[in-house]
Amino acid sequence: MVTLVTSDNEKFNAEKEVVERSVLIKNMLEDVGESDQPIPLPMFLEYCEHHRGEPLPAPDADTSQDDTRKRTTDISEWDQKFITVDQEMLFEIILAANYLDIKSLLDVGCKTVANMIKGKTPEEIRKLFNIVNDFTPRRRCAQIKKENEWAEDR
Amino acid sequence: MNSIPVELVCHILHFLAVQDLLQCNLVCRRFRKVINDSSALQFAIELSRCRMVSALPSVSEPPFSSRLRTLRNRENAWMTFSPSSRHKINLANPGRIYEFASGVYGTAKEINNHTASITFYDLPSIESGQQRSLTHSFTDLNVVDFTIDPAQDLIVLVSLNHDALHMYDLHLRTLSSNEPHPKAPSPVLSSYKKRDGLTYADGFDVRIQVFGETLGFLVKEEALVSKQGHFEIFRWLQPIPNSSALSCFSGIDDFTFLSEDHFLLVRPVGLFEVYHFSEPFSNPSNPAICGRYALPALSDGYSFWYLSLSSNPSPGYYFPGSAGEKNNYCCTPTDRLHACCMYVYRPAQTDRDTVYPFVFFFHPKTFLNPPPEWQSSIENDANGALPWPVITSPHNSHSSDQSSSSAHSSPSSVSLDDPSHNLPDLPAPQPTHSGSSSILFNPMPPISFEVWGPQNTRWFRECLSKDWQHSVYGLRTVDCILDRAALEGLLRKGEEPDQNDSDDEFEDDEPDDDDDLVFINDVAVSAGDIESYLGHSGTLPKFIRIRDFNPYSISKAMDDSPIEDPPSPHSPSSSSLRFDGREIADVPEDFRGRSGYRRVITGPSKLSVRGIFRKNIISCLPYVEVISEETYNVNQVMMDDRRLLLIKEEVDEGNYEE
Repeated sequence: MVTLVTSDNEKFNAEKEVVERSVLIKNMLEDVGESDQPIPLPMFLEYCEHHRGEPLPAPDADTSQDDTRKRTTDISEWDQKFITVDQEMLFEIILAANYLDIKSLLDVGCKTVANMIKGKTPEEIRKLFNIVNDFTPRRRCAQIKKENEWAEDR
Repeated sequence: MNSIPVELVCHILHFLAVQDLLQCNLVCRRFRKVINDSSALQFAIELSRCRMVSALPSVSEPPFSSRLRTLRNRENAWMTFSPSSRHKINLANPGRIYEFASGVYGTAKEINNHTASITFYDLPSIESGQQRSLTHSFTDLNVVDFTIDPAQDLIVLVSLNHDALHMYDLHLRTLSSNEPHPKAPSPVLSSYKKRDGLTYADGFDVRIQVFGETLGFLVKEEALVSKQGHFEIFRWLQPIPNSSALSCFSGIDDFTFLSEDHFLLVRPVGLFEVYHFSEPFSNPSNPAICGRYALPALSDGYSFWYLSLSSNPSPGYYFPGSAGEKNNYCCTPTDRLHACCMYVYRPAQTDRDTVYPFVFFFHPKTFLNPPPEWQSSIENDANGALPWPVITSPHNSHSSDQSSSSAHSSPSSVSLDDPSHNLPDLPAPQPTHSGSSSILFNPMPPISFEVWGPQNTRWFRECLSKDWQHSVYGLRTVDCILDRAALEGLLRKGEEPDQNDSDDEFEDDEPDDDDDLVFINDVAVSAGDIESYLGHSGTLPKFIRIRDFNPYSISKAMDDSPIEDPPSPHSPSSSSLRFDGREIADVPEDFRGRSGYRRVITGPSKLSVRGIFRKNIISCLPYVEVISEETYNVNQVMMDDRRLLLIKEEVDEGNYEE
């Protein structure tokens, strides 16, 4: 059993096996050894608890690139529900998953953002994420448009 | 989004398709920088532009930066015809059947009627200095053809079986060890049930092609007064029954796969037919016709003698047991250019040797999603006469019993021969009428060439008598053109008759010098055949010509050098012709003697057909053309994503370069 403490001092007890999905925590546990010292972190127990027993990804496994490029929407139903949060929370989850080094959760979060981008125009993407168009000269934008011209239409 | 660090933005972008990445490129400077700085994303974009797909998993070596560099260097080398290396292989065991796929060249030698041996050369191993080859012998098999898919470690042998109910056996074996293929539940498939009244001693002309899990096998049955095409598709990874067959009266000249569930048949009367498989494969309505596309109409008295397609099969690369570099990308299987070679003759003409060859390149991807205008063009024409007489054929009984659906007779076929002719179809104009079974097979009227053709094809007047005298990979083609000066020297020395004396065949007297044909005694001889035709013992020097139909290559070439428009037509009347708002030029003149030259052709061109077709043919698929600086003494050319295989027959050696 491991005790986890959030930044606002709430305590959670969890099994070691469950929280080891986070590589950060796994490494921390190895560092501190068997002790009753509480480990601080935000609340990702729900996610880890659900995925209990699933094999942890190999350290160098990288599923994010071209072979999965076409399968953006491959998010399991439970994960889909879990990740249905507002945009601010979604980015928080991505940042935390990255910090805690929970690869599967990071991918779920990033895929969700990718799905939001899919099929949208640049203007729609800017609006969606509140991004300012900082391409100043018109000519520059026209040049990029030209570069984009010859990609395969899918 | 602004709170997300760059590496996470990059991670998010990795999940996007190329089209979406390019949209992100336009969102803001930050996104653009992330995309520009990531070699993985750049590699994905570059691959898509080159119409290639990755053949390696993302985790394996080499890193994306070197994959990207390799891809760009190779593409540039094609654009400038600057091979990076050159190697020579002596082919120890050359035979008359050969195949080149994914870096493996296989050539089969028939030792006698019961033994064949096939040698496979692993070309990448030669690049690394250690030549690897494999020779497999097949005893007790009368091998007539074979094909390979190195990526699946598959070799398919076609053998004649005189003793069985079916005439052909297809043997699915491993390329690496010549064992029955472990993934094939039935390692020997039979096809083409014998029929009474036909002689089978030597078999018929056959064609075999693999496309992933699908295997296509065509038998071109030619009897005294008729011909039939028997085409069977196998899902070779599934247990028997795993096939679906189709028979066409009046024959099938060739076929190709457009995707896992679409294929195209070439009908001798001058039609492309596109068929589709719905799932499940055993569905009795398979395969269903989904489009018919007419080739340009011939003038009265002319017929197609033979039509053939060439495309490069089986992408991917894996040589059995090879530790060397694997191919890291290959052409997109559904986005390949095809070449259609056609030979036209006049059946009534006494001199049957006179054959008029034409070739055009087309991009069949459009057939998968035809624009709605094409269909409406038929409806508009509904009351007009069809360019071809169409009758439905009676049901054809020769089905294969293992076939999961009964053999389908062709949905429609063309009224056949004058029985006195022992020759292919005579598409002589006849009144259009429908057969009684038209309720069952409502014949789909063909979409006329004027509707689908001009934008999707580019025509040339060339002679290609062997499949691989010219080769296609992805959207790129290669062929060789004769060094005219060398030929003229030879002709003078041997006191052969003059070339170019065949103009009386043509209705107008345009000079013949705008194409690659050489006419000797009225016979068109291609560059690849000229030596044997003249009985010349050596090989004449030839230039290598690369044509690239990828819009991306064209735009790059246009950035490098100004566009050279096709030469303006010499007759003032035709200069006023316009197509799609652009002026039409004659088919771009050949630039023989202008070696080491590159030009971009984007405008429409008019192929003067000299009365053989009813109308001159206008086509405008853009391309960029590069001609080698040097000449090569070779007979055949083949290509894949990164190499050319040049074959010189007399001394049995292959030259190739990366």
